[in-house]
Amino acid sequence: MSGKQVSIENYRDVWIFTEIQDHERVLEGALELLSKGREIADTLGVKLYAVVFALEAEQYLPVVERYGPDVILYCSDRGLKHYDSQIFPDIYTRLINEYRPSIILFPSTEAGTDLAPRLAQRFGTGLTSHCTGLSIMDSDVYGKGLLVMKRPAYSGNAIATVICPRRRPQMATVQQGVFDKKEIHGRKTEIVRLPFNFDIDQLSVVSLEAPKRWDKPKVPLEQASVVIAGGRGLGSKRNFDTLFELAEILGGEVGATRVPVFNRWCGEERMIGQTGKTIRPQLYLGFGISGQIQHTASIVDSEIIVSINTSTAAPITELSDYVITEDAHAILCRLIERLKTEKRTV
Amino acid sequence: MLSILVCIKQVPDTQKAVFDPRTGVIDRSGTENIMNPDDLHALEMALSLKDEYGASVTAITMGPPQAADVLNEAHALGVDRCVLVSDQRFAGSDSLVTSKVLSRAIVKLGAYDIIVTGREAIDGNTAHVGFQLSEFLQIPLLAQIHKFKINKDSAIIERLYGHEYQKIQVRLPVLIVVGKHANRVRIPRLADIKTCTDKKIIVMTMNDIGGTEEEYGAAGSPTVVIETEIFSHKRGKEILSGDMNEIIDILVHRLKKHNILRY
Ligand SMILES: Cc1cc2nc3c(=O)[nH]c(=O)nc-3n(C[C@H](O)[C@H](O)[C@H](O)COP(=O)(O)OP(=O)(O)OC[C@H]3O[C@@H](n4cnc5c(N)ncnc54)[C@H](O)[C@@H]3O)c2cc1C
Ligand SMILES: Nc1ncnc2c1ncn2[C@@H]1O[C@H](COP(=O)(O)O)[C@@H](O)[C@H]1O
Repeated sequence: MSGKQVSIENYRDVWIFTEIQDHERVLEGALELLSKGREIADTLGVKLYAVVFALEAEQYLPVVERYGPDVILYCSDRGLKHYDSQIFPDIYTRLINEYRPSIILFPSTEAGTDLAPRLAQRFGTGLTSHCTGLSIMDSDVYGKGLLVMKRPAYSGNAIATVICPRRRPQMATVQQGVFDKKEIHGRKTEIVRLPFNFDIDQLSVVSLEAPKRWDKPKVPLEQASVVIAGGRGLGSKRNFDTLFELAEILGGEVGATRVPVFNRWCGEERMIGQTGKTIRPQLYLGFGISGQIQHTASIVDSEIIVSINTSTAAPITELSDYVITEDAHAILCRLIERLKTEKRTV
Repeated sequence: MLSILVCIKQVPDTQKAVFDPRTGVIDRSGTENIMNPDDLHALEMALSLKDEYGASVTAITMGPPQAADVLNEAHALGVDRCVLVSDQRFAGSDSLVTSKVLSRAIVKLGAYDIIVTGREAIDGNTAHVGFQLSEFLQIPLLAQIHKFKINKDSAIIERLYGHEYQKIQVRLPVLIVVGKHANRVRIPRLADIKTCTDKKIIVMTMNDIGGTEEEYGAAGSPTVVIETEIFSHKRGKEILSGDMNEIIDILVHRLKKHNILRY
């Protein structure tokens, strides 16, 4: 293990893995974590650090600054264009040994869920994955200022509360869309540029080529304000495709349960649930979805939930604001027709 | 010949699980145990490599004595050797300690070319063990694979990663993490199922893998679960009734009320 044994009192601040998505924008989930991290750092009376590794990283710093970090540590290099599971963990290991943060939060993305367990191993510390709640507690038994991490357990049937009392850093990955992002004005941010010192020649994994994905949402589902989701009850790819028409009219995105994804009616990035995205739209419309916990655990923060299902006994009705007991595709077509005529007459 | 190790885990069937409604803890005695679903795909990956290139495949699990069931199942599917890493002192291990135990057992078992793990286990859903094993063993890890070819001492891998498809070359040994999309699992032959319980299982304890009691189990685990509660999310459940047109009318009205439709 490359983590030195240092007493836990020497670890202080809160760090956010401020991920850059598709080398073009700061990941929404990272901004959400900066806002949550701000709250935690204020509770503890410590500093909030945003750590940014990217190609031409400077371009992202103004956005990051608006979410109130005390310090931005950034590193800019061609080798940081994409997340790399050899480079990122090595640089982080060095930085953690040098700066000793007490808490590090990562978005539950491919990069975050790769980086976090590697660092946990290197520092012999705990990691709690896919958290949906974070707070601070003082305990007589376990100590003061501990990070309290809540996460779904047993495929979403229960919520477990986890702490990491004896080791540092305390680490959590967090589903995107779980926390609100909030801009903060008038805070002074110290910006520190780090040198890039990683020997690219020592990479053991070599990339040969990179073609493109076939079905990609325009807006990541986590950020969509309207999500039109479809499940097995739509019956066919053709019926499923009608969802896109409604999404167009409502300015939303199409989501799915695992069933359409497995049937290749749509791409994997549309899957909502425990193995997919966590969403928090203003409106969730569920067409032909039964509402298994693996799906619904990730939609419960939607403001309004409408379900269309031929069965009144489907579990999704329990968590719906409005329930329609009809054929999913028929309602879908009628609604589209109706909204089209309304739009025309206005 | 290639040597392939597959990490498999016995888990409670969370789809049919029985819970204590007060504590939210799973009732293990009332819940059936199964092989972790991803691990069936991990086994399939190993066995199809064996079919193609020839290999000796070892299944390894850490767990209580009854975890031998999943090893027997692996045997029926065509695994050559089974290892049960089991010791009272491992009870209560979190993902970091589980990875530590597995890595030490793997080192004791000798040289290997490929390690395969599932993406995540359905009881904990941490998806840590693959990554942490690769760190303990200091070998590269690749996930999200859909093609895996071996060319001398390297593997050529195709995978969907982040926003793109990638083709990658990596030297063996390598650890691959396999999820449900990687392949379709084979069905064991009846004849194999009948004989599989006769196969011998190698058992390893703490004494075999080394280390001290404080490093393992709950004592060695950095995370502590302080509470578990059951999950419920009921809402208003207003039923929109009438004929189709009436239903659409009410729905559109409600969406306007919530300021979602603004025309
Ligand atoms: C470890 C694990 C992780 C998982 N992760 C996820 C995940 O991330 N996301 C996810 O979605 N699932 C996940 N699942 C799968 C999940 O358990 C369910 O199987 C899945 O969500 C069900 O999808 P569905 O509602 O489309 O299909 P079904 O459960 O088959 O439901 C179809 C519904 O459509 C209704 N219906 C049928 N015909 C019509 C019609 N003509 N009009 C209207 N309604 C109709 C039926 O009454 C039924 O309620 C996971 C499972 C496991 C074990
Ligand atoms: N006790 C165990 N014994 C063997 N393999 C395990 C064990 N726990 C986890 N694994 C492997 O690690 C993968 C990920 O598990 P987890 O990190 O617990 O979600 C599983 O699919 C298994 O391949």
